Amino acid sequence: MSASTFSRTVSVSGMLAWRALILVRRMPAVFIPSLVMPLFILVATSGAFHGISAVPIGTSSYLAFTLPFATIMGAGFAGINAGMTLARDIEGGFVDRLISSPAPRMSLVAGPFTAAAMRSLFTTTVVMLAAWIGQLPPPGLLGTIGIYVMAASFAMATACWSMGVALRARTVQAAPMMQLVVFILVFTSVAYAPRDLQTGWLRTVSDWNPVTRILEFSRTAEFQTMTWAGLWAAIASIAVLMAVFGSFALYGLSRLGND
Amino acid sequence: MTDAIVVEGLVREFKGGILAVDGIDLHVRAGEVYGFLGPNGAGKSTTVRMLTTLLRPTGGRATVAGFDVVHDAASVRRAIGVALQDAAIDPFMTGRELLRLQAVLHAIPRQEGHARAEELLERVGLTDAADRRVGTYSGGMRRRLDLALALVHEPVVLFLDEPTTGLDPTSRVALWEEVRRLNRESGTTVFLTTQYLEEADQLAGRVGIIDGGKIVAEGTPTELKTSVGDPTLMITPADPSRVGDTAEVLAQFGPAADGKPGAVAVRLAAGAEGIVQVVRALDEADIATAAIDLHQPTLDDVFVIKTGHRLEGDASAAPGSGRRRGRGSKVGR
Repeated sequence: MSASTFSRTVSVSGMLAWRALILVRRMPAVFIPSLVMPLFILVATSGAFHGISAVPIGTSSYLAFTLPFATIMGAGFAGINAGMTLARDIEGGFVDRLISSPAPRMSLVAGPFTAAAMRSLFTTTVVMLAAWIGQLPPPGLLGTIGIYVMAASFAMATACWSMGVALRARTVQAAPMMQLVVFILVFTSVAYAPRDLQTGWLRTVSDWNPVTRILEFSRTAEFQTMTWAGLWAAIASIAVLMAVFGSFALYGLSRLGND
Repeated sequence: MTDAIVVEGLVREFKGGILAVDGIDLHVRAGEVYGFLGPNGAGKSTTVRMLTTLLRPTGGRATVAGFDVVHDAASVRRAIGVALQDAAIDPFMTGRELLRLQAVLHAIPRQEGHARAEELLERVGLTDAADRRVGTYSGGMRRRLDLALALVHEPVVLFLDEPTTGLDPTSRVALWEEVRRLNRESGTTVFLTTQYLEEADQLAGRVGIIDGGKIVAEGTPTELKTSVGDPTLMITPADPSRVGDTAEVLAQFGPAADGKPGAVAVRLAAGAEGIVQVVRALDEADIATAAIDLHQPTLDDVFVIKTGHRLEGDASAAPGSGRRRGRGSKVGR
């Protein structure tokens, strides 16, 4: 990619990210559920599973244990929304306007990708504020950065997945497919319980699930027990997700107009 | 004059062997308004999507503004403006926001883009509605905005895909006037698809008729109409017993044509101008007329003759056209 193409990609992606963020404000019906769900997870699971904090989960507060789950789930919703917005744009013909212009095609996914990361920062902030109101002390600067970075990374990875689905299915009716994979990834990880407490197939799946390392690192960030090994494992997991889902999205992008 | 669009043997086959465009050839001269006429499903929009680089052809080749649509798609995109069917504009954004976004897509510097947006809003009469969400616009306002969006970067070739479908008569005429002005003042080549005969007749310098993925006729509206035959003159004598005499008089002006009962019809070999001689001859034969109907061949006649069927939905879909076929000029009754 030449310097001028890169500069154009950044410029157009920024504009499309800005548009995606404005649409969040103008379509609250789409945004509110993706904000409420992580809060619901935070409140409901920390209430329902409060007693589990008696078992070794690394903390005495299930609220602290479940906070990263809520932030990652919120990030997942932000990513799913990127795909839903793209599908809506494809169905409505707005994507045709973008791809019949000389704007770099990469910006078609780079814009929503950036917007998903930014949205996840907002959702994470709301979830952390809710946890703070729930008497959970903030995890310190490094821990906070860790939680934000993991959430934003997961939002970008799931944005790639959902945009890949949108680019293949080209209809917003594919939204359940976007959600399905994200939910499976999150719910078969260490969302509800650490790996030590998992048994059978769930433990096996959890061991191989990239989201496990992301959630585990987020938890160490929350507990302020981060390690380099945990960070590298999380980075590797994000890289795997990005490579797989990013390739899927780029393949879909390359097929636009060829089918 | 150079060609703005050259299409040679263009083919688009979809999965399942559906042949939407079946080897069409066409040339559109620079500065021309070319009307691409055909019913729904004829292949108009597929052709436009290929010419605007939205869809890859599966055969043949095409150049737009001198650039190959497959091998130099980026240059094509810089040269064209596109207003697609159904005004594909985001209903949640405002007109001004969309114009500014479009300027960014075309790499127009920020200040220049903002100025251009204001100029175009003024031009299409949307300045007052510029900060309203497009979802609140009427159909005519959306089409005008769509046109403005296509003009942000001052394209060399403008593609308008059924620009007036669903518009009321006033909005339709206003859009036609804007297209004419654009073509006249900027010399922009316009490739216009339509299923409205009247629209093609009014706007296009040349018309291509597509049906079943093939171009079945091409030429200026006048050439096309002339190609299907002479105008038909139908005389209804005031005295029904003089139908035979009337037929005898009319026989000198051309071959007989189908007419309604009690009337005599003839294809005027001399064209519409021959009507004067007909009236004189009838006068000399002392035949009083109850009605004289002149039916000029229309693009509808051209369409029927070239395709074997009528352009479905034209009269009903074209708001305010108020006619099913022909331009029957009542010159006497």
